[in-house]
Amino acid sequence: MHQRQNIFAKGAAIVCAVFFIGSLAVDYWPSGSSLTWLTLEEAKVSARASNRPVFLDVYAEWCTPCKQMDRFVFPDDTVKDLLTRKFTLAKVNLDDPVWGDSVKKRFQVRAIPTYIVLSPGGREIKRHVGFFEKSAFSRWLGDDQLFILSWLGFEKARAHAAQLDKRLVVLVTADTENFEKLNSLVEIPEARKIIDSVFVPTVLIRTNASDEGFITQLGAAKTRMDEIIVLDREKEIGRFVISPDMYFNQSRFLQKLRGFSGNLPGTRRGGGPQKRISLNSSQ
Amino acid sequence: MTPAFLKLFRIEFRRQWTITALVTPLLFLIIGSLIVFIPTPYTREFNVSQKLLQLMGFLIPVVSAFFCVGLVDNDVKDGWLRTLLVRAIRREEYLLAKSLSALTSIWVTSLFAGTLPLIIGLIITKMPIEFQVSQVLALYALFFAISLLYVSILVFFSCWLPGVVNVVALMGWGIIASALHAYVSFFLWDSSWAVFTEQFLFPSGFFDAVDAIQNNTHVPYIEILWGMASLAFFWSLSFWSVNRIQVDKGSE
Repeated sequence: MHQRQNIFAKGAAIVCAVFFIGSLAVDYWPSGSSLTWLTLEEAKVSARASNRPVFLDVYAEWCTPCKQMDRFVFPDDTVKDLLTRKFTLAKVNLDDPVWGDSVKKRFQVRAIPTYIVLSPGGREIKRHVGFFEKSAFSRWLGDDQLFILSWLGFEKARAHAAQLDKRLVVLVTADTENFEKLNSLVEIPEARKIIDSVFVPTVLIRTNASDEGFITQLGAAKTRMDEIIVLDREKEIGRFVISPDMYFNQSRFLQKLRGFSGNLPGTRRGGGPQKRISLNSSQ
Repeated sequence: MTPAFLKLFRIEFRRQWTITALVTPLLFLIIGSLIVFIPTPYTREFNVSQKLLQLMGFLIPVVSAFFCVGLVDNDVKDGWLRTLLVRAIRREEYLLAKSLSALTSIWVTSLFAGTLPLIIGLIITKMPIEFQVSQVLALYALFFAISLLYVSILVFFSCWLPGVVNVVALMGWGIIASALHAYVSFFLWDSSWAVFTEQFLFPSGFFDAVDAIQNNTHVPYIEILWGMASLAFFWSLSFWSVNRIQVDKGSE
């Protein structure tokens, strides 16, 4: 054993220990929240009664971004006001032996924190994965103006299309995480003009149990890719996958959409070979 | 700071600036200029913090590695440490002077190659400029802390590993930690033990603080605390290791 004085080494080691214990204590100390959170089941009942959407927070005790949200974002006055005024709040711990696994499977949660907004009826409306900066979070919570969010549900859209003698354009997506990106595509003025004049748009989301049957019947690709399927009088006239490059080269998306629109406005010719799809309305 | 320490610092600083070291900042300047001036797609503003992050994020690890190759081991091999110790220089003084000179060299080079292109870019850019003084100063302070961390790790490694191996070991460690981080993020993200363990694979406190400052998410005091803990940890290891070196036989 060395007899030399390791004063600097000992001093630095003590400083290290102090910082380490301090960091551990601050970082893993449970962060309180002044909001009232319900379980998912309680929230569903409350949401139906009050007709308010559910804001679902899927988190874990060991998740640093979840703690940062609790510490820095949820206590913000604007955020707190929006959450309490507009939503029924639900929190699910991923490690919860009862609800953790079922919520993970049911909503196909792939990372935490995941924030999902559900309609009072339990349908997924939008979701975000990961830490949110305060102002971005408020914008996201308050934004109901997305074009996609105004689209009718599948069955209503189908009936509407038949009534107006328009084509049905179905967007099939894994979950709502990409909604803002998808919305940026369908809201391009020309795309919107085509959709408004020729199509009745609707969206099917894989995480919504009620959409699963329709997605299977439409034979949508079993990937996480977003897909557009165009139906004319319940016959498929074409489909395409929204590839990532379409977000950068929007003309490719417009070109595809135009290909299924026939001759604007309102005529219904054009498109590829037609395939009859049996859509069972009892689904 | 004793006069002997200051003299030692000056000597160590001069020893680091070999002909190669004098030419290298120019090379880094060219790389730094490329980072600033090559336009990135979809960029509509000249964001100073973002450019600084790109520049320093590249320069600090590379320049640190350049100036810290075999930092202590070379001095043991060529007898320099022995020469100093027989002149009643304490090992701690040697280590501090050595580290401080390396740190000064790193920052002289990084400021030259990192800040000069940024200033020129600011003058000649035609894009709108996004510049938050507090954010930029905080980033500089954090990058300083990161360079201090790199120096402490490389000093510690070079007390035990020969020649360039200290730099290779740090690079290997960083790459393995990044790969494991990616693996845990994709495949074990719902495992509490994997996520908890992964956070301790590499001292990332200061890097997380840089992220928080850059994205303007929160004041990163917890991240800085973690960074300080790892910094103190590696300095204590370095001081301990330098006291275990036998100048005639190398490390024990």
